[in-house]
Amino acid sequence: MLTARRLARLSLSMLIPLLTGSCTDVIAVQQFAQASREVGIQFRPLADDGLRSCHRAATYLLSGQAVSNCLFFESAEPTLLAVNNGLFSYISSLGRLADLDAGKTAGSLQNVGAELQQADPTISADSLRMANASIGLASALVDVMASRYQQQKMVAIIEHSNSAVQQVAGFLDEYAAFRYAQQIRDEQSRELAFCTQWTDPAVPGVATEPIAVDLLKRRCTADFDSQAEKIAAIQKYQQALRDVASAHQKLYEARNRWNTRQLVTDLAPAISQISEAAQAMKKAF
Amino acid sequence: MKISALDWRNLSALYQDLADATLAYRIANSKSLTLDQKNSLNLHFGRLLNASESFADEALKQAMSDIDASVEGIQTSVHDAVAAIHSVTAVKNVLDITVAAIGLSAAMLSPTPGTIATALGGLVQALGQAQTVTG
Repeated sequence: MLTARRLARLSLSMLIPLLTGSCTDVIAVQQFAQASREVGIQFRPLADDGLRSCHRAATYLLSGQAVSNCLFFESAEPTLLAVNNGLFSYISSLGRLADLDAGKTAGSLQNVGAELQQADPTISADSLRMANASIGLASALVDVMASRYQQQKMVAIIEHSNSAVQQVAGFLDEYAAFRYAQQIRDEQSRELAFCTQWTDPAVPGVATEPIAVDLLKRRCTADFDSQAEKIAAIQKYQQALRDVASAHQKLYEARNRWNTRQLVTDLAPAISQISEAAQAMKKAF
Repeated sequence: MKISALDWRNLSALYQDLADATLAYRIANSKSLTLDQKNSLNLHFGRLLNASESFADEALKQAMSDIDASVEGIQTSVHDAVAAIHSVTAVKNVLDITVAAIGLSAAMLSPTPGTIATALGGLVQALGQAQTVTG
């Protein structure tokens, strides 16, 4: 349910474009892009913590349990960062906010296919196609930066890029974010198992270490809450990706008949949710 | 039959649920389980999580290898296993279900003719025995 403050904020975000005349369509896009940019920036801390989580989980192994394979995170992260950067730099550029080191992004994305195949020789054609769509976004990014953000040009770019936006957003949601959420949840479960074992009075040695047991219980409770917050933040990132894809789809479908009032109405919920996702990610990671 | 990325994802989530259900069983029955039984459950819990992680990696890799089993059937069986862990009370049945699920995960990650069917049969049999006892 929307709070009064959120309602007021939403009303303001809708009112400003309505009052500013012919550029209002672009302003609506800018607001959408600005909110998206924050989410894009927060992906790196999230990805970095995925690898750290894998290593942390290894410290909770009980007797006989095997170590997880963390190498995949190391090999896949650079490519996933490049794909994420490509998507959100493109969205940002729509709102004159392409300051996510766009030139570097375009360069790094040229090697997406080769890097993915090197990390995983068995990667499917579908996965590769989705990742390669980033290259199309990088091209569009350059176009946007050179276009002086004229609405007509923007419409053409949105039209040209919509398919790639949908594919890249889906790739990040279903592949990257899912794996990171899965990893944090694994860490959470392994720590819970560890804490259960080493606070169980029936386990030899536990009953004679009351202070250590008490400290372990406190740490486990605190860690569990932190992990839950991270999982929730990743879920918001996934929802933000869906919101970005959905909002871009709306821009695409209305590209030849942009109506200020409708556009702002359509984008306002997405802008609000994407902003919340960015805040949650910043807080958790 | 090809296991799609979505199938690997679903299996990963199911195995994670199964691991969590095993851990929840160990916690809920902490007073009645022997130390050996707790250690066995810990071991199976770790193996189920490792399988879940491997499946999640496979989802990322989009493995294209064909295997001779119905993915839908496997997902249903694992789903049933999660439900069974929540309902059965005999530790032997819980251990049988988790061991069978671990065997199935190993067979799926290194598919050879017949092994998946055998492993799936083991899981179904463990579930059947648990249902007979609890039903």
